[in-house]
Amino acid sequence: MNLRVYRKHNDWLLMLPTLLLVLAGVATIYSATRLATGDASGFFERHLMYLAMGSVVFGFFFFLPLRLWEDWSYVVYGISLLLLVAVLLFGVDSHGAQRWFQVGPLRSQPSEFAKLALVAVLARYLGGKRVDLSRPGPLAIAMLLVLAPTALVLQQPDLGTAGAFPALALPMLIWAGMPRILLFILLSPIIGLLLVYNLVFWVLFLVFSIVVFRRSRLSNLLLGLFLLLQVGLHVGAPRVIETLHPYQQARIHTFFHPESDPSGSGWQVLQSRIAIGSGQLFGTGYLQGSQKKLAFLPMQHNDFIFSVIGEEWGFFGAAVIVILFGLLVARSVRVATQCRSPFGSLLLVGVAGLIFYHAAVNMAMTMGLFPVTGLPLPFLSYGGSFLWTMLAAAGQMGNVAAHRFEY
Amino acid sequence: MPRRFHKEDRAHRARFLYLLIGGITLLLVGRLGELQLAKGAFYRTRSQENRIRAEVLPSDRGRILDRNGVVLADDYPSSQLTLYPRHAIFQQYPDSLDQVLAAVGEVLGRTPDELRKRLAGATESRPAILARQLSFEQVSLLEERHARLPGITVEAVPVRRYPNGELACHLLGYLGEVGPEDLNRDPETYHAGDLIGKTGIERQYETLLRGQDGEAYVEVDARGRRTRMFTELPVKPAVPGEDVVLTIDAALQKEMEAALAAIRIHGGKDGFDEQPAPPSCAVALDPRSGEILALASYPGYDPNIFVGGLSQEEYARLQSPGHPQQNRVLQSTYPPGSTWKVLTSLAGLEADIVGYDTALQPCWGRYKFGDRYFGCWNRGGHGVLTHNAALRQSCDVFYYQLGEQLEVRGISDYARRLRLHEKTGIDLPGERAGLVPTPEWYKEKLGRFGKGVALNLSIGQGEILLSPLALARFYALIANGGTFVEPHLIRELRARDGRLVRAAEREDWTRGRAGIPADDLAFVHSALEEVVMHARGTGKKARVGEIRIAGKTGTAENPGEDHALFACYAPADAPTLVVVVVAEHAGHGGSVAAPAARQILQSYFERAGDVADSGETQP
Repeated sequence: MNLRVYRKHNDWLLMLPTLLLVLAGVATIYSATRLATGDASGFFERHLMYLAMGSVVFGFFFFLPLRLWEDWSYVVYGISLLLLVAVLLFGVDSHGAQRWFQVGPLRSQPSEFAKLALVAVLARYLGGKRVDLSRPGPLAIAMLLVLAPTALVLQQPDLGTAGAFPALALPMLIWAGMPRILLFILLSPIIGLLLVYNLVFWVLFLVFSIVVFRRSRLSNLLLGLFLLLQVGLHVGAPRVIETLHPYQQARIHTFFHPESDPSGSGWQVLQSRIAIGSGQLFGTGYLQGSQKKLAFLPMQHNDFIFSVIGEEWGFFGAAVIVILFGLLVARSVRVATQCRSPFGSLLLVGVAGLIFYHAAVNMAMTMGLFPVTGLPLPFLSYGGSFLWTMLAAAGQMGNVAAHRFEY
Repeated sequence: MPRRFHKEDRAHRARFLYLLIGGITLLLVGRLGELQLAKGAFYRTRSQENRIRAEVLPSDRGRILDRNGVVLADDYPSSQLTLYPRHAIFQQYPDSLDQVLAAVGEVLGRTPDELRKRLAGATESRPAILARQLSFEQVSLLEERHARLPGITVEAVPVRRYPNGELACHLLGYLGEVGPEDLNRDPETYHAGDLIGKTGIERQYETLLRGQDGEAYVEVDARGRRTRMFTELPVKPAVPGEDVVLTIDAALQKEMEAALAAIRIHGGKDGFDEQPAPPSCAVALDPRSGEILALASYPGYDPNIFVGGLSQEEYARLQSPGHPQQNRVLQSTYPPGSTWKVLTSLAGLEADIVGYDTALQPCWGRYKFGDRYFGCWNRGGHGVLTHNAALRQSCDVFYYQLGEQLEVRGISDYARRLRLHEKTGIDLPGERAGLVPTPEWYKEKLGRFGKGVALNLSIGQGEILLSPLALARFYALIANGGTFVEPHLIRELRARDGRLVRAAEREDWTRGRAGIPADDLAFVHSALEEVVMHARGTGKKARVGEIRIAGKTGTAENPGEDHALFACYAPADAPTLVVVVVAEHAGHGGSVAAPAARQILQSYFERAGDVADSGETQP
């Protein structure tokens, strides 16, 4: 291992935002778990412990020879799928979902590991010399690689985490040269889903799709299939929603009607919005957030840590956090353009997509822009396996960046 | 390296991704700006409301004392269990309320549904009171489980106590949970679950006793627990209620209640049946000032039972035929019987129908009027009687003749002049006015009516009804030389620090004069004194040593056994006490009511030191 390259090519524009975000997380968890009632529950101390272990994870991926990671990616991916199957069979039941392995005092979420595995395997596959995403074969294989963990995680069921797989895959597919029309086709089910309860816009969307298809000179057969899929989705989705867990249904309902239920499942969102809004320009001051201090915020050290930041640090603090995430990810894309190895370049885009998906969904959720998905905020949320996943992602970022001029 | 990883391609794709990243970042920052900058003030307010709860600081209720400082009602600290059902925690997790109610119900021995009913009136700042007067065991169980029971609080609160049990229960009244009419009348002061005076002094002086609740702001956490006082907003301190000092003399009151409880009905074969005491009542007041020294109704109840809520058994007892809750002194009316003859005499004297020594037709035991006979209580007849003797011996035939000449108009006009148809104005709620029938009243009630009704009216029988209190005020008027006095119970109001707020004893409680000639009153005095002091007087059982007592017995005819009445005042030459006793369906006033009055008079004069001094009055 050539350590000189790390000194020479280490990208501080990637590592510094990461470090700042981690430190902001430490400070905020300290604040969030210091309640007015004085009960700290040891969260802060445990977070520091997790962070210490996480730095080992970071170091591992920072120094891991990328070649090795590339070579073993299929094996890693296979293991991750096996773990996802196993957790469905032997996992710990929690809030009506099987997400955890419990070994003694340790809990781990195999879906976290699967995210990293998918990034690796996609980078490996899409980086291959003969993979042309404008052809149906490679596209189907790429789809399959994404859908396997997605479907398994949906079985747990964990909607938010399942969404992470397509979300990280999408920028990778774009990066690998997938035609724009395919991007449109891939996103169209999501658009169709969002318009399930809006007939007018749904019909307009179909008309728009037909125009796009005609202009791309794609076969009418494909268009027919596309329309069939959309109609099926439109009819089927409400029925699928009925089979979802009540808490997920509640979240979907609350998403579409955020003010309808301020005391029920909308309570979290409402309290979170009150916390963020009350921060105003400069915030209530560190450790001074009353929403936070009096435990009105649910999961304030975890999923809703951004609300504490919004309350205590105000617009300036919260906007800095958002911009740090934006900078981190944009810088990743920039480094990816410089990266000479296709695998490394794709890996960077993948982990950046992973981080950005979580960050954007989490922050949008705390501000009432997105349903409450139960996704934590990268680097800041209190954490076990999720924190390690993100530190592993950051490690890979640094790793690729340092080696970006190598083939 | 494949074509698709050429630099231009990457730059092209990177632009697309930058756009995506930039767009999402902008969206998030924009939303932050909307929440924190555009609507920040709104959410700041919401945040304040979220954590600050206005809490009521209940005022200390004033005590009720007798004229000598004996405590008749006060508060003692007790524990109560409260719950804020509107708290956010229950809105977030609706199931948790059921769990809390179930857990609390287990400790209290109530069902969750019973407790749920108590949540109705609670607001953001006023908790529902789930239970009062918790036992020590209940408190420790609840404290133990407190951590798992959000929204509940065990508080030390003052609870009303009547240390003397049934003593003076009717005049003191009791507290109960505020009802809808009071809530509607004064929603600012009263809230569901509050205690309010329901009857008696507690009701009459509710506003003064209650004081004013204060308000403080406290910071609460999401589980509804207080974390600290919120001093950024001003605290409105509670104003404690005032102590009400009554004119009542607790010792005399006790004696009066004992006397009533000791009344036994005379009758049956042996002339005496051992039965429980009949319903009865008595009042003793100072004829000079209207101060009520004792006021009792039998049967009574223990006002303490209302504080914690009634048991089935207690409720059943209160509904019993004796109507223990009724204050007979002012809420029941009775025909005054022969005690009324004083009024007929005065009316006759004023109308110049009779003089002091006028003799009418002799009494042969009955009086023929038209084709009807009106009997005298003395079937053997009284023979020829002067007015004086007729009043002393209570000869009905003499009064029939007087009534015949006065007619209904003469009697009712005079009675109305003495305000006997009005309420006395006593400072107790629920007083009933008597009924003094007028010719108009008879016309409306009976259509045509004969002159015979005047005969009945003249001896205090028939339709006429007076409350014992109105009768007492009438005798006070005789005793004090013709001055109206307003019977009252208030003597002083004292602030919690002892400061005198109102000295009712120094106020003028006289309400004008009746304009009765002094000679007429002297005539009545001497006749009434003979009723008690004469060897053959009907009221001789009221005698207390050598104290000059003037009184009049009454036996009120009514469906069933007669009511026994006795009205008197003493000392006859300078009266300081009027006593009226009424025993329902108990027989003759002279044999039943007079002995009870004697016990009351004796107690009064013994403590005044007058029994030994044989009739000397205190200044």
